[in-house]
Amino acid sequence: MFRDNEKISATQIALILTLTMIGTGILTLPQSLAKEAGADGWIIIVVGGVLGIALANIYGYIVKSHPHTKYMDILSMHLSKYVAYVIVVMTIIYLLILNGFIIRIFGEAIKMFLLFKTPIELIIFSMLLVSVFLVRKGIETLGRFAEIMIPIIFIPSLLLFMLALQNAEMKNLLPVFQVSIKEIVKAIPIVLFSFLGFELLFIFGFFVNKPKEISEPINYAMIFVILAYIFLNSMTLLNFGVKQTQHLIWPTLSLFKTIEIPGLFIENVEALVMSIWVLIAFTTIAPLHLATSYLMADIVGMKDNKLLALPILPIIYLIAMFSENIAETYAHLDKITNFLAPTIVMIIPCILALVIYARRRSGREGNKI
Amino acid sequence: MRRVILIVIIVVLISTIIGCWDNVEIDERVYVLAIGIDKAEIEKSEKMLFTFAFPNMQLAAGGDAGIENIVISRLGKSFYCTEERLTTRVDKDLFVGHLKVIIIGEEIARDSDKMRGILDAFEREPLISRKVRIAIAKGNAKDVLETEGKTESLIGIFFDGLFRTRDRVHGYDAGELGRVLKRLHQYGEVTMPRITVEKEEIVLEGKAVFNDYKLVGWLDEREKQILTIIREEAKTLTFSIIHDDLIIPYCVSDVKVKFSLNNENEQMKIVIEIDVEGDIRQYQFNPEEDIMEPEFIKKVDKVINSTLELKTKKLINKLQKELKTDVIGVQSYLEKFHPKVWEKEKEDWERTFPNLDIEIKLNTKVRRIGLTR
Repeated sequence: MFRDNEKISATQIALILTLTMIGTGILTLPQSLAKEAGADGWIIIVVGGVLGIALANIYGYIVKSHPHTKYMDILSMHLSKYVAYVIVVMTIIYLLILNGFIIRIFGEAIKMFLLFKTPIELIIFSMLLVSVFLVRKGIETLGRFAEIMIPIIFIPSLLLFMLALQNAEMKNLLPVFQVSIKEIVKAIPIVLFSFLGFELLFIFGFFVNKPKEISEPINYAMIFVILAYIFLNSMTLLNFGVKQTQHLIWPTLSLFKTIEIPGLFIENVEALVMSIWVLIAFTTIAPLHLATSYLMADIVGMKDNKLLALPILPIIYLIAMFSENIAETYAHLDKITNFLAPTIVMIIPCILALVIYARRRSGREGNKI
Repeated sequence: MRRVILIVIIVVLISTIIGCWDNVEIDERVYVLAIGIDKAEIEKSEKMLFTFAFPNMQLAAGGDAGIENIVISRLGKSFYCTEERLTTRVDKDLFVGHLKVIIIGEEIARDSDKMRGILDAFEREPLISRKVRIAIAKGNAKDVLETEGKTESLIGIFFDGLFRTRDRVHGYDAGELGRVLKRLHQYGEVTMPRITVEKEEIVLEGKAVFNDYKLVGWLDEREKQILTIIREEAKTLTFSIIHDDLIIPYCVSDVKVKFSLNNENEQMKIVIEIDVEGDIRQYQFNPEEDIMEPEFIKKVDKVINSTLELKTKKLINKLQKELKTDVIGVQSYLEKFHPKVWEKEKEDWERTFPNLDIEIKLNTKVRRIGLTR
């Protein structure tokens, strides 16, 4: 009906990426930061965030230097076709696994707080079906969806956090600057995990109508996510203190259990929180799903990615159901963030950017002569 | 077209009606509002006595009959097993999502393994809010739950109101589960409200002091008031001051507390500066002395100061020597403001605290004296 040219604006891509990133980090970030750095978690977010911004600009550079070119074509142009195939297959595997674990965590949280008796299989499957629906509609719909979702997610969340402030203890943010440089470096993978989703810029960069203007929105997106995480981390610490935060699996969700509005107007706000949580999770799952379908279409040489939306579903579903319990899910996820993710998110883009940069330099010099 | 409409109707009906397959009507559920946990009175038994209190909803549905309290006790090894077994006696679903209060009997509270198990059971359960109140019964929790409140007959609601009022009047920390757990995680030491039954009446006063996850002693209401002052949690507290054989009620309206560390001459010393502001609420009808006289107020102030200081020192002495528990927050102060010092003291804190040099600098002020002079 309204779909025309599969194009999104630079702002829309920034919004999609913001939502994707928030969904991966929001649940566990405060807990892992409290474990690694005590009350100094914000320092790690800032350090990790600066690293993230640097990476984002490298991505932006790659996308800008090859406007309207697919990720796979950029790769094969600079790193030969075979390498491109390997990298894209790796990226697909990585996206599938990441998506599988994220949806498992989503399902576990929903089952824990909202649908106690619904089988987790059903929760995950129905969520994936909705995701298939969005993927079939393509990137343009996702862009508009992200625009609508931003206020729907962030305004109520902000209000809920404000309500949680009534139990805050300012002293919980102390002591500051106790973390050593070694600990910061050790904790960087955690923060990196919280910024995962940004690599989708490569895949969605192809659809941006004005790729030259992409830098500013993505930098804003990064800064927004950094600020949101610092806010989230401080809120959790203010309420729970370091030790209690370490003992909670999902501090963010437990935080809302402490909310109480005088006069018994609302006490257990789980239902409200969970509905926001569904949206946050969906805005992470759907972009990952869409990106996977685009890459798969590229690799098999299909023009249309729509047909692939449904076949991907059972793969993600099986990965989601692979772990026996939530503890195992997190253990597997840790392995990915420690090995696969750094390769895809850091090493390959850096090599690619270097190659592009070197070729451009030599190309220009060649022109001069 | 007809076919399409038919299909739509069928799909809508199937998808909506199907949701009712495992529904539970509200009158088929009972809402457990209070739980009591006691040690089983059987020798050499691991079992505990769990008491569940809930209102009977069926009578409420009938209209005029009024709501009846049901209190059921059952032996069991853990809370969730017992809850499940209770369905052998109750014809309805037990639902703990609206739990208001958890009362733990004295004997269980003295057993640190049992306490850790119970606390974890409640922290782990997603249904139970962190706003639930937890209190320690002097004696048996069952006796407390079997006593009816004077002003509200529904047990859980009565306790909820009781705790809320204490919050409002006396400052926080009236046993909110979330706060208790937080302190226990952080320091392993905490105070919880004490609840007793006196002459068929429920009394919520004093504190149970926990160290290393077990009950180590009690504080009475007077000591508790001083504790809330040191912890800066006090809202309104009234002390009786005796001056020239006259009783003067001194009502505390504002407290400011400042900790500082003094370790110049090797010996670590904690200085606690407490600024208390308050009003004089009663003196004497047609007094001989003019209460508006600044000199007179200064004299009263001195008496107030020495009385409160004595009480504070007594409390700190009790906490250090008798209970050996740092619930006044020295540890939290060192950890947050002197992390380097704390790093050194951390290992041996249990032995350091009882012999720690704590100096109290109390500074009281009379701000208001009422309408008469």
